[in-house]
Amino acid sequence: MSRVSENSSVNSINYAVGKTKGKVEDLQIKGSTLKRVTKPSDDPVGNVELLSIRSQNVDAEQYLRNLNFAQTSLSYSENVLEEITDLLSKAKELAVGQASSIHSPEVRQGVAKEIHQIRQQLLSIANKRIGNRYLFAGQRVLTRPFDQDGKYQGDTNKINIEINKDVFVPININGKELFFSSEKRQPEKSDLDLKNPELEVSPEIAVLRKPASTDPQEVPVSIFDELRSLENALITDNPQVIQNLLERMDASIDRVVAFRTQIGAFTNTISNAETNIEKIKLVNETQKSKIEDADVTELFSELQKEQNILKATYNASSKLMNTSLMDFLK
Amino acid sequence: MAADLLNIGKSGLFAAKQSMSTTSHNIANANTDGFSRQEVRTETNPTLGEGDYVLGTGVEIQSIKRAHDELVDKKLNSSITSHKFNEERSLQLGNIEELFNEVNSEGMNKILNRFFNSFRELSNQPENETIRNVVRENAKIVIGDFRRVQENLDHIRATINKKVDLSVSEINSLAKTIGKLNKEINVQEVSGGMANDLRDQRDRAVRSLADFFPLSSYTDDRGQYIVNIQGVGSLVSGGMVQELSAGSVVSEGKNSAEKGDVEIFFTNRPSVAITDKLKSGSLGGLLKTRQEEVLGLEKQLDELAHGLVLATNAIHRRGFANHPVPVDGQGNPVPNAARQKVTGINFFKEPLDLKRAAEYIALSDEIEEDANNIATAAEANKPGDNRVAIAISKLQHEKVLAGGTTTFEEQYLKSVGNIGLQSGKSKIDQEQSHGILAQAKSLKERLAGVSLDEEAANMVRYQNAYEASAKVIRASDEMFKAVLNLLS
Repeated sequence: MSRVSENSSVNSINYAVGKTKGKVEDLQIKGSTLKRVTKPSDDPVGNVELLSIRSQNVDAEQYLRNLNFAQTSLSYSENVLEEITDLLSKAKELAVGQASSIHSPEVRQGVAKEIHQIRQQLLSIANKRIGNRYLFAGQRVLTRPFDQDGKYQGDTNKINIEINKDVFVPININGKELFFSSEKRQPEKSDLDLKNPELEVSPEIAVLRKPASTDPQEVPVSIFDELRSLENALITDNPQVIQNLLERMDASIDRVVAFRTQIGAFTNTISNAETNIEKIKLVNETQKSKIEDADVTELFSELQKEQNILKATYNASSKLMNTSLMDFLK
Repeated sequence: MAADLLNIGKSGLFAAKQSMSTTSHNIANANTDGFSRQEVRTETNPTLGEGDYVLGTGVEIQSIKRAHDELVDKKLNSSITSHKFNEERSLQLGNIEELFNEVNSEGMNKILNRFFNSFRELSNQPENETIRNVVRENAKIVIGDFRRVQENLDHIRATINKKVDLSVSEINSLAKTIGKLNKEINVQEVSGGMANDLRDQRDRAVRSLADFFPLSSYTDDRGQYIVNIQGVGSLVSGGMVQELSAGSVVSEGKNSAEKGDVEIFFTNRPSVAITDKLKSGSLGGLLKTRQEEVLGLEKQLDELAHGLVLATNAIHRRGFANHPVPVDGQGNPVPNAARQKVTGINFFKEPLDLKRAAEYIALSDEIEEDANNIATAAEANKPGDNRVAIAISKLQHEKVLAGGTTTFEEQYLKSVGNIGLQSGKSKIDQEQSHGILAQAKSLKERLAGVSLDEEAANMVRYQNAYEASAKVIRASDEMFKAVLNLLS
């Protein structure tokens, strides 16, 4: 038989009540937040996973913003390319009409005026902006790319946007490649060399460094030059020159159309990336919920159980504390 | 013969009365902390040989003993020590853990992440001043958060040092109490008998001492009661007390603690710190947390801040700020013609020492002055060039730290994961040691605690014995009278 003293029974009551109450309190916090993990120690591994999922989600949100930005820029460019195609087709139609020598110089003068008009329109399109950024100026986005003579002021750089982790799309077509004929890509002057002994750089950035080529370039001719030649040929009534220009204009239209196709391809890349990001977000949400959300049924049945235990402890304690031999020695 | 009867009655009366008063003492002290119930031990008086018979002569009180078991006390003390260790660890780690709790709020991971993502946003429109300002603000938030964590860790460290300091003065006062009690007990026990209540008080003081560090206690062959700090040496021996001090140690030996940290040493040997030898108890818990978690986290945080500054600056310096540069006829930038620095600009302030980098991390003056100094372009005069902005944003996923083996996030999450693990473990340990302590306490209380039921029964018993002894005296009186009446 073991002795039971006053203090030993009070201690055991305190211990039992304290332990159960602690559990109830913990469950109540979980019940009020409906979260399984409220501090790192609740699930150290899960907490770390949770944090990394959250960063992925923050990244995903940013990639979606970048993606929308790229999408907007590309759609805008596509619309502009369509306008350019229309104008060029119109100019070509007029040129085709004037390629034979049946028209009188007066008519040609009128057409020449029309071509002049088209050239002006084309110039203003070439200097289009989104917000304050010139569309066709390469990376010199704040410089007006074409002057009145159609001389190019921009550069030939691409602006790449990261639309998903390590996935880049160019969002601009520079004025040189679009408006100038048979222009071989010029080497970019001083590409960023991120080679740094203390810093290993990922391949996407390394891709930015292109080997320099120093091929002699053939002299590029711009669409504006072609239109000016056309205008001049009309004024000087020279069907032979007009005839020759037709071929060049065809090439120009083909080039613009080719860029439109390219934009289509990029748009595809973008929507693929978007689908991927949304998918990852969904998977992350599921995983996140698995880690941090409490199983409501389990939680509340557990809470009920602990509350019952607490009640039982109180009951038993009150009986133990209220009886004493003294009561019976009267 | 009748005189004997009277004496026997008297001895019974006396024994019963003494037992009764001990019972009352027990009842009165039922709730006194550390009180051990006492018991009157009686034995028979020396017998008288009378012819062929040996006659009993009544009862005598042999001693008043307290219920006590050395081993039970030792077990209780060691359970207290290890529970206090776990309790203190779990408390301090809980505080530290809260600094890294991002479950319901913003934390460094998210803030760092947003910093890199703001560069990603800037890469869309590098010429946009609003976004440049956002990048700068996010960098300031990163800096603020490094400082927040650093300051809080400092605060926790200061709290721990303060607690160690207070503990040492409490230990000294307890040690003095024990020394004083040792002397008093010796005085009281010189005449034989047990100084029960004083011994209880001494046991209680030793038990309080067990809160702080692992101790052992014993009585040596000369009857001196000794309290040892385990693995260090004696704190109290008899009436002698070796006082402890807390403060900085001036010694030629290695000093593992940070500058400004409190070390513990014996006052009369100020060059030998015993800090590292206290492995358990509340002091052990405080010191372990200070030396391992606080120090470790500070180091990791410094590495993180330092790595962020170096890596960001290394790329940033290669970029060009958003300022026009005069060009020559061929369109090449004219060196030194710009009105201000356009490249080679640091984003964060350098130089920055690794030590306490998390505290001193700051924006460079250039960036602080003008958000247009944030370098985004790889070439001059290209406001749309976003290559440097992209490169900085890519740092988020680069393995830059620890010799190119971990990313910022991995490094940070490792720290958070570790602190979560330690904190979780200490909580489980605490629960366990609490159970063990409750068991040891109950063992002690069962042995030494007062049971009112038992005392009530004893009260009835001794009351009856007293009454019966009184009746014996009356009977012997009547027997005397009968004899006297015969004569009259």
